[in-house]
Amino acid sequence: MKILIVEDEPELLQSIRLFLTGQSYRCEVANDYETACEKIINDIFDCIILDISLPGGNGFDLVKLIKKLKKDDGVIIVSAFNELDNKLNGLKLGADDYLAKPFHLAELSARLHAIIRRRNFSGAEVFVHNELRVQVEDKMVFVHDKALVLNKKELDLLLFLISNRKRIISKSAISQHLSQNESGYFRSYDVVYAHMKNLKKKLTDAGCRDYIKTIYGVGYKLDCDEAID
Amino acid sequence: MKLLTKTSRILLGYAIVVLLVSIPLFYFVIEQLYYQDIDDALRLRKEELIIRTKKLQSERDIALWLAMDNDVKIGASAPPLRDSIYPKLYLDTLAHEMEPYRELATSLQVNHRRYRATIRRSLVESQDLIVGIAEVQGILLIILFIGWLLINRNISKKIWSPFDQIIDWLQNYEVDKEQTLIYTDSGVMEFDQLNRVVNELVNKNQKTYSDQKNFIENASHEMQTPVAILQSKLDLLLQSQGLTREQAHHLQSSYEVIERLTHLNQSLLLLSRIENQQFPDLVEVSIKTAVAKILDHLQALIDDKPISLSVYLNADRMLQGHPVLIEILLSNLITNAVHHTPAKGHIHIAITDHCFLIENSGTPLSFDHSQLFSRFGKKNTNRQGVGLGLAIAHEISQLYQLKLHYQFREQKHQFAIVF
Repeated sequence: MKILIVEDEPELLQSIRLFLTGQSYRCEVANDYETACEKIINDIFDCIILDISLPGGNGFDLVKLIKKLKKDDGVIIVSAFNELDNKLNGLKLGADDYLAKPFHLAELSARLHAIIRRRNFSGAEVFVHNELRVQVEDKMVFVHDKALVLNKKELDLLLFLISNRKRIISKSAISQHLSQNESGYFRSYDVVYAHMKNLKKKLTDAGCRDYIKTIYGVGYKLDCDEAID
Repeated sequence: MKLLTKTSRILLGYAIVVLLVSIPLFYFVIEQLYYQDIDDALRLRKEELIIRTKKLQSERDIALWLAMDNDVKIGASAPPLRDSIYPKLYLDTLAHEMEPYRELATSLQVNHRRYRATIRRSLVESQDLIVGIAEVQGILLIILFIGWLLINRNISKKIWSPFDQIIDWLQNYEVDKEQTLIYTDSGVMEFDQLNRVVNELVNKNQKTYSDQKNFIENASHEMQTPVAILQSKLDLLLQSQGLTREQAHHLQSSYEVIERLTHLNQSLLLLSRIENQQFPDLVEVSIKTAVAKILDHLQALIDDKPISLSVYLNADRMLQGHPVLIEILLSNLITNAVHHTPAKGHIHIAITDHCFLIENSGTPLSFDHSQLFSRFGKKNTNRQGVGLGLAIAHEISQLYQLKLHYQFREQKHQFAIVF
């Protein structure tokens, strides 16, 4: 999977690149408008992570360029301008997703994963790990081939863990993920803890082994080294 | 008073004065002209009399001649030295009332003897004529003035239409919406000038507004980028091999601090954006739906703490506002209650026709409750909050002219939004 990261802040650029490389993505980078333009025109990417304010130009113009070239690259806009206007504007121009700074790398990775899944597998991704089977697009969970009913938040939580499997996800990232559709600026680890407890209970009650490991109170990890996609 | 009414009133007053003065003046002038005319006629008559009476030979001839003309008299009384014309009243034998006449008295020589001769002329018909003329003139003048006022009124409406357009435009003007400037070439210098000034003002306003907006956006950008970097580094650190319990603990503390920083930054931005009225889109927001959504998000936490919750959402109420702000207002009150309710406590939420009410059990406030809605006014005993939640709720309720009340009674904190 080939990704282009367009970001003018070198430290942030490096963090994103390191994190995604660790997930076996191939990453190209651009730190200004000109370089980004060149790479967009000359290459094909599965997804482009795009900052809005760039030296020498505006990220929205790059989205327009991608659409004008009739390229099929996915686009995630990353911006500190978390105003509704910018979000709507970006999505209207044809970006696939929008992420406001500051974001967690796990969140970015999950969004990226979702876009690539939609584009490459037409969404028909199935996560299988021993007795646990999750049809990602249908949002169906099976344990020992028996459907398991989860509520919206628990399902959301499980899918987030799956898209960041084999990695530690901080409670902070989970908390942000679960409250991303809420307008209130309320985030609480207690919420994460409560949902996690319910999810684990439902899974174990259905006869699933406990694959969700708690990492020293800082985060969680879906332990599935031998999982097949 | 409308400008048009004011000018019309002044004009009407002037017209009345002119009418009152001009009608009698007119009457008098015409009367004088008519008298002059009559007097000329009398003098002519005198000349004629002199010529005609030359042929008369005797007293008898005179008497005979006089009998033929009722309006001429020749008498023996002392003849005047000079001709004189004067008004005089005579008894009308038919109508038996006095009628006005003009009379010329002169001395007349007939048969070598001087007589006093008078020639008179009735003014009866002429007076009717003069009154008639004056009346017609008066009516004409009145018609003239009324017509003038009506025409003036109509034209004024047309002339003032560019002004009305400007007022309409200004009434619909909103600084946060891009609007085309007014340009109406009215052809009236004053209105064009007004147009120009209004346009300049609007441009200035728009610039100030966008400067301010840009500043807020830039501040947000500048503050959030370093936070984003910091957070991404923690995310990377978390993935490092051989993470120890101690390192994990430090990481967790750092995450919490960053979240507080983010939360604080967003809260401050939100406050300034509310103050700058940058939430212009007003729609109908259902309180019931919003409360249900918020409770759904918090349900797991409420069940886990545990808190017993009773909710009466029987009535619904639509609030005019920005959906995000209304949700934040309710969410801040509800999460505030969830945070401060002790385990096994109770929260009661109700929507009635005139208020939204939330009560939670707990101990009395340790500070003066006037500090409750102030920014950073409280001792921050709760690690999750930054002390701005209630300040934001207060600011939003003020923005939408809602009243947010607090009271503590029967061991319960009670917040009410009165619609």
